[in-house]
Amino acid sequence: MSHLEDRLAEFVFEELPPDEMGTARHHVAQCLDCQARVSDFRQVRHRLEQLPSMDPPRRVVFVPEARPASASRGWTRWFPPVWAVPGIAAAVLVGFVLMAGGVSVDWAGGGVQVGLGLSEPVPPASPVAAQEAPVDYDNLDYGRITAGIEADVPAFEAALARYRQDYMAEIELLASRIDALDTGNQLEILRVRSDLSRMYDTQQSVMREFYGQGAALQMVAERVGLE
Amino acid sequence: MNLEPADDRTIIERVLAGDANAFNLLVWQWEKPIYNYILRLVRRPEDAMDLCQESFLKAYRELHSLKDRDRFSPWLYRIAHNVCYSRFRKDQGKTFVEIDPEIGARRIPIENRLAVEKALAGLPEDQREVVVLKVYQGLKFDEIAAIQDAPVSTVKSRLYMGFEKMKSVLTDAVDERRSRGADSGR
Repeated sequence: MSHLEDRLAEFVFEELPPDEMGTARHHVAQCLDCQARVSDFRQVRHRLEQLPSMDPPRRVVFVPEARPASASRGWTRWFPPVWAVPGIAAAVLVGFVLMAGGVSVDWAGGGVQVGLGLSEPVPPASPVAAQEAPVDYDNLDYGRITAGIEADVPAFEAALARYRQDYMAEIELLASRIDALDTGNQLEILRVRSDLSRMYDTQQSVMREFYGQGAALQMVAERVGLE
Repeated sequence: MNLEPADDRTIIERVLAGDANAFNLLVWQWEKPIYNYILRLVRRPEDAMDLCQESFLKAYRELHSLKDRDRFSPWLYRIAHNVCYSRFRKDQGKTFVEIDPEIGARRIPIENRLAVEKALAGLPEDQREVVVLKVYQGLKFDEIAAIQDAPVSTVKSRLYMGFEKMKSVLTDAVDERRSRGADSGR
């Protein structure tokens, strides 16, 4: 058999027909020139394969364009109802944990105290400071959080209501941006929809995680009627 | 949203039967490979995301024209190819900042990754595209030929030339590093 020549790429990527592949392998085993070329080719391929794949910075979410003229103008038309319930449920749970972690849980001091911070005055915190102290979701003390809820149920429910209101306001804002763009730039519409759906996805995944944490969170869900 | 893996043909049939939301299943299955293909061509993440969205939008609009429903992915790559080359034509003469070397990639030494990215970026567009489709997307030569609308022999030749150039650039990079190491050791 002659040298690989223009069949080199097909040989390396194993796209030669089976009979030719066998012959080519036999030739390469005996031909130093072809061995060197195959080796060079494989090295470049190997170097290229070391570059990792990257995740898209946001998800593409497709929503059909054609809608009846009588369709609702509210934000709910961008989501099937099945998304809304777990989304809100998760939002409430996240709200609860954020408040528990962000307002009155002293993680660093060792003397952990959980009471949602709503039954006693809390010194005003700057938004920047709040951002600098993220909740450590992996190390939440659910027993103590539950105890905090038990200690002041009305404050807990008021906090949940407030969080839910804020969350819905954010959804409404995004939805109004979509409505404003309804006849405009299709890509921009997709982008905003993508942001909106990502919010729901995040809330859903957080909720799933919380449900997996055990009875304490189960109790929270039951208490606020989200089961 | 519950997105179970499904074969492309089944999903396409659902979409064409009127279940437009099922198109999200195709998006879910092909978004990452298409994004990475485009990213390696245009090298700017935000542009790649825009072009990725545009590709899926076109695919949805033209889905009825797909003759062989078992060959959705080469068809989708062809659409992405057209979208990218349309952008290349618009952007001719402009200068861009290249891909952020820190985005999503920390497993191999930075100097190796930069060297490979630089070598890849230095290839002419048609050669780079063949390399990307072959090495990262795992397409067959005849599929790449259909995407590029070129003979298979041309595609193979582009891959070969691309690899030869990359080998040369990567060898130079290694030599340069060795030389720097020797200088600093003195």
